[in-house]
Amino acid sequence: MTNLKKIYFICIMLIAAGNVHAQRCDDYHKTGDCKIYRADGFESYGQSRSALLEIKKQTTFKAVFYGQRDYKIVLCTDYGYYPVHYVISNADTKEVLYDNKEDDFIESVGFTIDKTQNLVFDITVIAEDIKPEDAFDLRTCVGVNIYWRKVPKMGF
Amino acid sequence: MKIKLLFILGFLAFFAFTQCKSEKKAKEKQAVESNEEASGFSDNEKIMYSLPSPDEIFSEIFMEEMNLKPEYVNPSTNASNYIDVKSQAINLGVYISDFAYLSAIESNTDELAYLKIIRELMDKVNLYGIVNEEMLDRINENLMVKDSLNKISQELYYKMSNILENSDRNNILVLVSTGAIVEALYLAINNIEFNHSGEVIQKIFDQKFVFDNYYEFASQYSDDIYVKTVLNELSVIKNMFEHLDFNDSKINVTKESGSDFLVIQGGKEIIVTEEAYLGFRENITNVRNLLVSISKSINQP
Repeated sequence: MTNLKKIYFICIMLIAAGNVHAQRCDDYHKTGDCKIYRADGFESYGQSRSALLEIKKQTTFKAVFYGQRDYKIVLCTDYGYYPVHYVISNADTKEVLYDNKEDDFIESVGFTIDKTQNLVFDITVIAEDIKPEDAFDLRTCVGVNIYWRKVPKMGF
Repeated sequence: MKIKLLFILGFLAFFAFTQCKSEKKAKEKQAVESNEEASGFSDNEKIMYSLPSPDEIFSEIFMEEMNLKPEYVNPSTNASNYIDVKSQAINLGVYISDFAYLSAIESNTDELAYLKIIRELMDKVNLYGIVNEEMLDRINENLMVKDSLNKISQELYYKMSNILENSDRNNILVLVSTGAIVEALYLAINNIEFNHSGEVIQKIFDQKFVFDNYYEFASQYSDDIYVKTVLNELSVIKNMFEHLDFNDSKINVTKESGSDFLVIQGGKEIIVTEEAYLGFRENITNVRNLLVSISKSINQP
């Protein structure tokens, strides 16, 4: 009987293991490092995303950014996997609008957009302290948390 | 006892077999990828798309006070007539948009009925537990608090998207997104006449960028017969968007004085003419009517 219970347990664990990797990053962008603590009228934008990414490999993320809005973008990953390199470009013209390498791989950036456009984020988890041959896991969660607000009216 | 043991061993053998199969598939995929790399197409560029939920689309379009028209939503009585997976998934998206639209109307209280339809259709496409009793209670309590309903609608959409993505059912996600986007555009364009002042029409046309992202995302799954059919049905909207005229100005990035905030100016601005407006309305109405039609849903696929 004890053996049967063990076999049952193994079966359940095998089934569960298949789904764990995909789901462990769900809503990662809503956690710790991805949050901003001074809202200033910013609200969370639904197009924020989380994903399980392989380190040192570039992944592309594409989303629509409406015009006449202010945005704050915060990228986060697990402790030990920083820095994260990201380059923001216009999807149509491929023109680079921002590269966080210029700001020492800072995790957040704020911008105002006057015309609606599709922006592309090329994201690479650099994980400079991790050597692939020594690493326990070459994949890590990355969150892209996007906050937005209407451009505040200036003057009286 | 022996039967139980045999059953479990059989299950383990089946599990091992399916794992081997997935591994085999993964190896085959890897082989294709290395071929692609050799020919210059690297798999490193995996693209993730994010599409706004219907309530976000509506809140972007209808920033100013508008008289919304509930008579345009897909009648709840149609729901039980969708009998195949394709039409069930597409109309799940349609009803999610309808729910978001109705949630924005102050005097309306039909949301609960639409949410029940959403739950039924979700069950039919094997998406259980997203709309649970707790959510229905929250909606009941917030029927008059429209901001809360918008949040619930957004939560529902993204939760469903996550579940479908994580379970490798992106083909179903494409179908749901199709219904949601087409219905949102249909409700928006039928809400307003061309001579309306203000930015609403411009904002409706700006949804071209959402549609472009949706179409690229959907095209990744075009080997699925349902997705292929839907993309074909939507090609008329794709063509219409592609033939719009633009004012194109060079993109300029500057830094706001005294802060790290970037200011991104320029880019494409769609020129909205009466002809473009009428074409948009006609095309989106035709496609939407095709998607919600009951006779169509009976035909496979």
